[in-house]
Amino acid sequence: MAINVIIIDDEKGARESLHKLIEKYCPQITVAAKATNIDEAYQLIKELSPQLIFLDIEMPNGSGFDLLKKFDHIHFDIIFTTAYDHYAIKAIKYSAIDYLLKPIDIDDLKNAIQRVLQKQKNKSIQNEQLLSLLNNIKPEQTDKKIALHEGDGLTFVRLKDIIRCESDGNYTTIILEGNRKIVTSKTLGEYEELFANENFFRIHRSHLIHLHHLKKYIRGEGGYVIMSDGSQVEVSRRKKQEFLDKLSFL
Amino acid sequence: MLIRLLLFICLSFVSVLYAQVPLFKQLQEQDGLLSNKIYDLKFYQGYLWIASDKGLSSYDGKQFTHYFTQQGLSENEIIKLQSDAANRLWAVGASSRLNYFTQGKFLLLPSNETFLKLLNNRIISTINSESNGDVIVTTILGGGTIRIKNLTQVETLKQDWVNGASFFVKQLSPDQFIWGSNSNAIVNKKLRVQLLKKNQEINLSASQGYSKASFIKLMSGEYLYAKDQELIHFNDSIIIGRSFLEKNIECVYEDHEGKIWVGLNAGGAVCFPMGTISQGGYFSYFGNKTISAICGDKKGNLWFASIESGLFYLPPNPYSNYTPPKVFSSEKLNKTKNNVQTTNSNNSLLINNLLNDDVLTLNKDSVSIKNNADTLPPLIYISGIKINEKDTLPGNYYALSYSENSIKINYAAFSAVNNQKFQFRYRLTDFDKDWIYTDNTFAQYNALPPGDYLFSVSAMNAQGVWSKENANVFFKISPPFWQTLWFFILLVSFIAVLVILFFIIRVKQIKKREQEKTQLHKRIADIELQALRAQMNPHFIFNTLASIQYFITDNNVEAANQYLSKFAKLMRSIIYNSRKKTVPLKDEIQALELYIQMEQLRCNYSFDYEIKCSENIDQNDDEIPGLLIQPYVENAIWHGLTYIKDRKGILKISLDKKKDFIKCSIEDNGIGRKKSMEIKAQSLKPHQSVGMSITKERLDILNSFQNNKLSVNIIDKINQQTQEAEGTTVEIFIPLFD
Repeated sequence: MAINVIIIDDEKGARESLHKLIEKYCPQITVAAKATNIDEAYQLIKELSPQLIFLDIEMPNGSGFDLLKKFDHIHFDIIFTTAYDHYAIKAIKYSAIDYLLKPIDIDDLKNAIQRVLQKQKNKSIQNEQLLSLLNNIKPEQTDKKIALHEGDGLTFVRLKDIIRCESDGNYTTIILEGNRKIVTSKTLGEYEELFANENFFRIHRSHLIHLHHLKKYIRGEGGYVIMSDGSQVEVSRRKKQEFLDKLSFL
Repeated sequence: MLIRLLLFICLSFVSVLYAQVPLFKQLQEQDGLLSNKIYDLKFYQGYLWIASDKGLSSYDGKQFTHYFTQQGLSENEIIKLQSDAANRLWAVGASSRLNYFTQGKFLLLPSNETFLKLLNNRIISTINSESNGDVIVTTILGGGTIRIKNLTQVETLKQDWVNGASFFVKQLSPDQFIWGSNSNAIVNKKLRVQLLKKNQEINLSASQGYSKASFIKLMSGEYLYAKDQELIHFNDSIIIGRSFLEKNIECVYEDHEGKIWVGLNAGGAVCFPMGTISQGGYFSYFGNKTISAICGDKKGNLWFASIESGLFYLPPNPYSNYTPPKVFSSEKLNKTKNNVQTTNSNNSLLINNLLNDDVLTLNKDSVSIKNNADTLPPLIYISGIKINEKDTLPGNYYALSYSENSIKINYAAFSAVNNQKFQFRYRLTDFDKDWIYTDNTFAQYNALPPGDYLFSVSAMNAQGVWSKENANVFFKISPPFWQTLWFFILLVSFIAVLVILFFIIRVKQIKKREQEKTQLHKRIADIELQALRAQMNPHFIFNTLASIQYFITDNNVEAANQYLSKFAKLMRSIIYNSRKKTVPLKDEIQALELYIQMEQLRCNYSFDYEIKCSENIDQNDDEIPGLLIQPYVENAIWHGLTYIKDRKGILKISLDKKKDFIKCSIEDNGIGRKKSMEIKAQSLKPHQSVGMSITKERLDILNSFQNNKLSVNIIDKINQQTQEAEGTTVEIFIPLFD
């Protein structure tokens, strides 16, 4: 079954090179159209109803997100393409949506397409992913949502609700308000990086806490903290000073 | 440390102002005395008691307390004071009434009939206390000698020879009295002193009459008796020395150093500095004032009461324990003392001059000289020394401050022959080159510079015989503190400390400045790095690479090569330029051109560009901070030119040199700042203009180093007809960096 795709990018080079790469390495999909800005893209999507779009984020006359905003329901898969945009990539990661970095690596492209093809079509999940993305992308947004891989599916939680994360080998247990726990297949390091600009702090090799939920710090060699759910978490000796410095800024 | 040093300096100054040679000072009515007419002085219970014609006063060195009839005195005019063994102070009124002071008030001796009768308005001449508390009073003119027991009983002491006419009595010990009396006052008017213990009489003087007499026991155990003009020094058995003064004697006193002071009627006071009575060997003070009493206090002050001028006093001499250097003939003076050898049974005093075995005999009627009077050398002595016009305590050593440098020395000579005329010669060693010969009896030196001086004087009699030995006085005038060695050392160390402090502070300052500089440099480095990162905008890099990727996927090897090498060139120049503070304009323009070409590629050549560089710019030599213009160009492209659809974009960059700066204008025909911002505001995704904020910060730092400030001017171009924006011009004024 051939899949129709639309490439949306303002730069000719990027557009054309992606087109060529798809033609050459991904025979299972067909490029139905190319758009240079979001207005053009909107029209084309409506006309052609593609199963997948490659969407550039940074474009004059409206970003990729602005395009998505125009749809009430999205019936197509999305792979974002971007040269470099730390901020946007973070938001995409929060929502667990696929993205490609330009210049495009052929293997990455193949993998992304593979995932789209294999993915169980669950439009409601995808919609939720997109909603959380559009929600998170707002700069003033404080109530961010994050999609967590739990088993095969995705669970959406509010960043606010995360009390702490605990490492368990290659898995990470995320402890949420209301005694909920989610075990994810990502490492604690990945979460530390993901939450880098949020109010999180790695107090221990296997503990990342949300300072928003910090109730008390008890002094000791390293000391320990008591979180809002009453759990006690040890602070490592190595991290103590940095932690105290951080606290003094709060 | 500094404070301690300053304190040390201050204290040192204080120590320089240490006690100077004591000079006589005066207290008079205006200083608090009741009267300048003072009859007697006594030091009693820590106070100096002053008897005057207007009342009795006590003085503690600061304040006077006065006693009058209101305080219990019989009369205000008090002529005599005496303390007794029962710790009472007796005050004799002018009308011979006896008051005594005890427990803070004066009481009149009970008017015992016997006592009143005995006194009978006679003048009380002496009042003496006995060790048991009894008081013995003598009166002039036949009142006799009265003993007052327990303040109530009165008895007349009957001694044959005293005969009721004794004028003087002193108890030396419980069983020893010394009496002075006119043994037969009317008949032969002989004065006698009886030493009761040995039951022996010594005829002391032929002086007659009832005039005032004084008697003291000296510290040596010897006695000094004075009456009229005569002064007699004797011990239990013999007369040691005697001297006739020119005026009647009012009082005698031995001070704590053993100097003998004699107060004279209308003749001032004289001092025998060696404690020996020798004819002429004394200093004179107070001119022709009448000194009625002399008394020392606990602090060592010596007080003099005068009948007409109030009180004088002499503060204690801080050098009294000083042993003068060998040069001074203190030995000589001592020798004089030794030479005065006394004898004798017929009222004569013999002075042996050991040096030539001459014997000088003085007796009450005449002075005779054995051997040849013509060849007898005259004795020379210093009779007074004034420092800065003020009398001083006699001495042979004076330590003076630099301001006490005006010295007048009076000297006198005497010999056995009366009315001799003397010739003197004197010399101040190290000041006078030679002896100075004169008839004057004083030498005056004004404004002596600091130093050590020895004043020597000797006399020659009419026969041309010089004194055997000179009279000498040593003066040490200390330099003012600013001329002393220690001051110099102090000054040098003070300056050294200041210099060190200065250096310490300076070093700290420099360190601090260096630190600040380092910090600033670090910040500059940070900014430079950020500037580099802004040029190497990842967005730009990766997008450019994506564009080049297209040529590769399109098999356009030539174009791929061309752009890849251009891109490499741009990257290289950005990295290279970012290491330098300033770059030649040529390099900057080249990098700019490469950059624009890359952007053109990305934008599919939707705009054209031109770079104009005016003739007056030396592209090789004129330098500007690198990577400065690029962010403005990027802005023009991505926020102005990429939005336009209806026309071809045009980017114009022109560089012009004006005086000492380069004017760079970047002109685009894009949509203008306002519209660009509107579009961005609509977008979900926030715009982060990192490049511009870094550039702004960089400008601030560059400006903090320069007097010529970098400045940026943004002009919105408006179409006159449509009133629509038709682009933006940015003008950057870059001072030329040498």
